[in-house]
Amino acid sequence: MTATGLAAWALPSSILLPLGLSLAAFLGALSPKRQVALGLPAMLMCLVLSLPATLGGEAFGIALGNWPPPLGIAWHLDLPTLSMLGMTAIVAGAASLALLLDPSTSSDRHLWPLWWMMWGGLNALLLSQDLFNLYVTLELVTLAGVGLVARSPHDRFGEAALRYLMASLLASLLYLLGTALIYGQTGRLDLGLLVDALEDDATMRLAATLLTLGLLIKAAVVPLHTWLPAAHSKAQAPVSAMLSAVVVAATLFVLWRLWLAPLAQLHSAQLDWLVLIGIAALGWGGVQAALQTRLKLLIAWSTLCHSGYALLLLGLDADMNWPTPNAAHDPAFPGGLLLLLAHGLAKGALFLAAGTIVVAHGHDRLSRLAGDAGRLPLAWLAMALAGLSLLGIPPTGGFVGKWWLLQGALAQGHYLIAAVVLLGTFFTAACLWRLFDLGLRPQPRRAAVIASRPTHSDTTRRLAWLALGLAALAWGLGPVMTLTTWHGLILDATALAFLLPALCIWPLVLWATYSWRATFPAAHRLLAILAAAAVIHLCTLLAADLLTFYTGAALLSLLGWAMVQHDGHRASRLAGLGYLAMLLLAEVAMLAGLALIANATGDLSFAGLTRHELPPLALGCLAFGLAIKAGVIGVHAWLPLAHPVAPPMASAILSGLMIKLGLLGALRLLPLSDATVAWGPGMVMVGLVAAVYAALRGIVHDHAKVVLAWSSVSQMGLLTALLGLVLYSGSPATAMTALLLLAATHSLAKASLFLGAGMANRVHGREHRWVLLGMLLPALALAGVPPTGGVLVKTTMENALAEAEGAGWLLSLSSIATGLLMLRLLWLLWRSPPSRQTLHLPGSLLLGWATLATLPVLVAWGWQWYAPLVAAPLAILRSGLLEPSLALGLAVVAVVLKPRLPQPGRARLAWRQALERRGERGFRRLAWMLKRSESRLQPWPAFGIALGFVSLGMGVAALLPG
Amino acid sequence: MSLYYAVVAALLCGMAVIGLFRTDDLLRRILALNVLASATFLLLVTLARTDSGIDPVPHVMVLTGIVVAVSTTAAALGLTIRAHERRREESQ
Repeated sequence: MTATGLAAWALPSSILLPLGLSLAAFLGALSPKRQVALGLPAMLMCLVLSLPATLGGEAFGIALGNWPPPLGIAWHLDLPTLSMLGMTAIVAGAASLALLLDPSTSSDRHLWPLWWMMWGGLNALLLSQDLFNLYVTLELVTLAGVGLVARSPHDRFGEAALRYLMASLLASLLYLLGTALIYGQTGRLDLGLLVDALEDDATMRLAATLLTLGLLIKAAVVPLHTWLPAAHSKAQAPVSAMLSAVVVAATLFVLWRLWLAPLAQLHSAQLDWLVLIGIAALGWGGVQAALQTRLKLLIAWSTLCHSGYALLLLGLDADMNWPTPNAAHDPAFPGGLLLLLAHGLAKGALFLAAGTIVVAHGHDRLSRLAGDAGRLPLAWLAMALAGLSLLGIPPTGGFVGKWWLLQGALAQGHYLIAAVVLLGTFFTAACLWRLFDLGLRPQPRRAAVIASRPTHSDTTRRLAWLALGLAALAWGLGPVMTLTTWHGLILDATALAFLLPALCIWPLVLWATYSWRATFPAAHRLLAILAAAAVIHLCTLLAADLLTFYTGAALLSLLGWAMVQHDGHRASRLAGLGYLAMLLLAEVAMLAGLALIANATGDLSFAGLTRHELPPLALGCLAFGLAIKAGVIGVHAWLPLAHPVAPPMASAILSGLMIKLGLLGALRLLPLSDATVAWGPGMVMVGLVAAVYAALRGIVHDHAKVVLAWSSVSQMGLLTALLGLVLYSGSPATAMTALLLLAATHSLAKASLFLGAGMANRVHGREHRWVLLGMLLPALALAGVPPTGGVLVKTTMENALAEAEGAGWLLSLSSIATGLLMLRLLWLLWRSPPSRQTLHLPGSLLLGWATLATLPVLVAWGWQWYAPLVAAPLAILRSGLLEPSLALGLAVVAVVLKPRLPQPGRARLAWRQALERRGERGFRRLAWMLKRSESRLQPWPAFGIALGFVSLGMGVAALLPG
Repeated sequence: MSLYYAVVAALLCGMAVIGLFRTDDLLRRILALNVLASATFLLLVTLARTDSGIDPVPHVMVLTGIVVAVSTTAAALGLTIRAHERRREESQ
C-alpha cells in the first residue's frame, strides 16, 4: 500500500476510533482501563501510519466520502498539522494515564465518554479544511470540554463550566455568522478554494472580524479571557492539562490557518490590531500569573501569557500563504509553531505535576507549599524542567521556537515584535521565580502558616513520572530541531587555559560538598546542582559554536541562582533575585545578538564566524550580555551581593569559574570583527580604573566574603583591560599571554580563597591557623608578591601595557590596592568570631585544598619554564617587591593609626531600610491594584464590554489600509 | 426582499448580544443565545436564494446548526438545573 493509501485509512480512524470509544464508554461496554489500553496504542499507530504521507513535504488531502469540495468536505494533512496532532496525542495520552491513575477520575464513568469525544473532536478540528466543518468540530470540543469541567468536584455549582459554555456558545455563533457571510459572498467553504475566491471588500472584512472574534473568545485571548482561569483551575488536573495545552493551541492554530491562508488577502490593519492584542495578552497574562496565590491558577494564567506569542506570529507572516515546506527559509512560522508545541508539552507537564501536588497535599495553596521541593522532588523537578521550556532557556523547545520567531521578526524589521518576544521572558521569569523561590525555601516565612505534609503513594510517584516525561519531551524538541547546527566540541589553546583550572577546582568542590553534607542545608540538592553545573561548565568551555556556548552559559546562570539562594534566608533570596534579574537581562541581550548573527550568517560555529563581518549591533548585544556575566564594572552590581551569600563551595565556583565564561565568550567573539578594534582603548581605561576602584571598595568592608567578591570585580577589571589590549594592539601575543595567565591564576586563587574563607570561621584552634596559612599562598599570588607566580603575571601585564603605551601607574596602583585587600581579608579572618557551625575537615580534603592553594603560586612559573614570559626572572624578583612593600607599609600605618573606615552610617542605614520598606509597600499596592483591575473584568457584563472593545478595534482596523 | 430579511437578522443579532450581557438570569442568557442562533440561521436561509435559484448548502448548514443549537441548549439547561438543585440541597 502506498504512503497516501495508508494515511487515507489512518486519518479517518484517528477520529472514528475515539468516537467509537466514546460510545463504548457511554454504554459501559469497556472499562476505562481497557479503553485506554485499546485507544492509546491505536491512536499513536494512526499518527505513525500517516507520517510517510507528509514526509515528502507535500500536503495530503482527503475528500470525505469521495465528495470533493466545493460540495464535499476536505481534510488536509501537512507537517504543521501532523505535529499538532502528535502533540495532542502525546498530551492526551499522558493525561489519559493520569486520569486512570487517580481513583476518583478512573471510576467516573461519565467522564470517559466526554474525554474520548474531546480527543476525537480535536483531531477533526486540526484536520478539517472546511469553514463549516470547523464550526462543528469547535462545538464538539467545547461541549466535551464543558462537560469535563462540570465533572470536577471542585466546580459543584457548575459556575466555571457554565461561564465557559456561555462564552464558547457566543463565540461559536459569531464564528458561524462570519462563515455565513463568507459563503454568501463567495459560495465557497473550503479554505483552499477560498484563497482564489476571496475578494478584499467590506463584507469580507466584517466576516473576518466575526470569525476572529469567535476564535479569540475560544482561545481566551486577553481581554476575552475571563472564563479561562476559573475553568482551567477548577477542572481536574489531567483535564486542565488537555484544555490548557491542546484546546487553546488548536484554536490558535485554526486562527493561523485562517489568517495565513485565505484572509491574508485582506489588506487591512486588522492584523496589526491582533498583534496589539497579543502584546496586551502577553503582558497582562504574565503579570497576573505572577500574582496568583494558587498553583493551578498560576499555571492557567501563564497559558494566557503564552497565547500572546501565537498572535505575534500573525504580524510577521501575514503576506505569505499557509506555509509549505518550500517556504522554510522564513524562520518565523516554524518558530511560532514550535513555541506552540513546546508550550503544549510543557503546560501538560506543569498541570500533571500540579495534579500530583494536589493529590499529595489535598490543596494547591502556594502559601502552604513552602519548601515542598524537598518533599515531592520529582513533581517539582518536572515543574522546573517544564518551566524552563516555557521561559525559553536553551536548549529547550521553547527556546528554539522563541529564537526562530525572534529571527523572523528581526529579518523583517519588526522591532516592536522582537522586543516583545524578548520582554515576554521577564514575565514568565517572574511567575516561575515566585514558584521556585517558594518551593526551594527551607522553612515557611511566617510560623503561623504551616506547610502541609504530603502523603506519598504509588499514585503520586507515577503521576510525577508522567509529568517528568512530558517535560523531557518539551526539552527534547529543542536539540532535535537544532542538531544540524551542532559543531561538536573543540579543545584549543584558549579553551585549555580555562579548562585546566576547572579540572582542578571541580573535583575538590564536589568532594567538599559531599564531605560537608551534614553542615549545609539540603546538601544533596546542592550536590546535584553542583554536579550538573560541572558537566555543563566543562561542555561550555569546549563549545565549538555560539549556540552551544550560549546554551551552557544560560543553564549555568540558572544553576547559579539556585546556588546563591540555597540557604533560603532573606539576604540570600534578595541577592538571588538581583542575580537572576541581571543574568536574565544578559540572556535576553545575548539572545538578541544570537538572532541577529543567525540572520547575517547561517553558520554559528566560531570558526565559521571568522569568515563573516558580524553586524556591530549583534556584537554590542553579545558584549553587553557577556559583560554582565563577567561582572565588568558598571554591570557588576549583582556580584558583591550574590557571591558572599552562597555556600562557600558555590562561591568558589561562581567567582573562580563561572564569571570567566563571560571572558571566554568575549575572547571567542570580539577579536573577529573590525568594529571592535575601536573599543580597545576604552576597555583598557575602564578596566584599569575598575581594578583600582573595586579594590578600594573592598577594603572598607568588614565581611571576608564581600572583600573577596570585590576582589573578583577588581581582577575582572584587569582582565577587561587586557582584553582591550588584545583587541586593539597590533601584536596581541603578549596581552593574550597575560590574559590567559591572569585568568588561570585568578580562577585557582579565588576558588581556594573562597573555600578557605568558608572553612576558616567554621574550624577552631590549630586547624584555623593552618587554614589561614594555606590561604596566604593564593593571597600572595593575587597580590603579585615575589617569589610567587603572581609577580610574573604582573610583569607580563606591565610589558603588555608598555607595548601599547598604556597607563602603567594605574596597574601599579591596582597592585598596591590588591595587596591591601588581601591583607584586609586575612586580618578579618584572623579576628573573626568563630561560627557556631563546625566543619569536619578530613585530612585528605585538607590536603587537596592545600594543593589547590599552591597551584596559583606555581602556574606562572610553570609557564615560564615552558615558554619564557620574561627575559630575566631573577631581576623582577627584586623589582616586584616595590608594590607589596608599599602595601605592607600602608597596612602597618593603618594598624598603628587605626583610621575609621568609611562605614555606612546609621542615618544611611536607616534611609536604606526606609527605602526598602517603601519599595515593598509600593510593590504591594501595585499588586493589589492589578488584582483589583482584574476583578473588575470578571463580571459577565464586563465581558460584554471587553467584547465590544475588541470588536470596535477590529472594526476600526478594518477601515484602515494595512 | 432578501435585504429585508438580512436587516432583520442583523437587528436580531444586535438584540441578542445586548440581551445576553444585560441579564443575570441564566435562562435568559440561554434564550438570548438561541435568538442569536436563529438570527444566524435566518441570514443563512436568506443567503441561500441566489440569482441562479436556491442553493441547498446553506439549508444543510442550518439543519446542522439547529442540531448543534438544540444539543448545546440542552447541555446548558442541564448544567443550570444541576446547579439549581445542588444549591437547593445545600440550603436545606
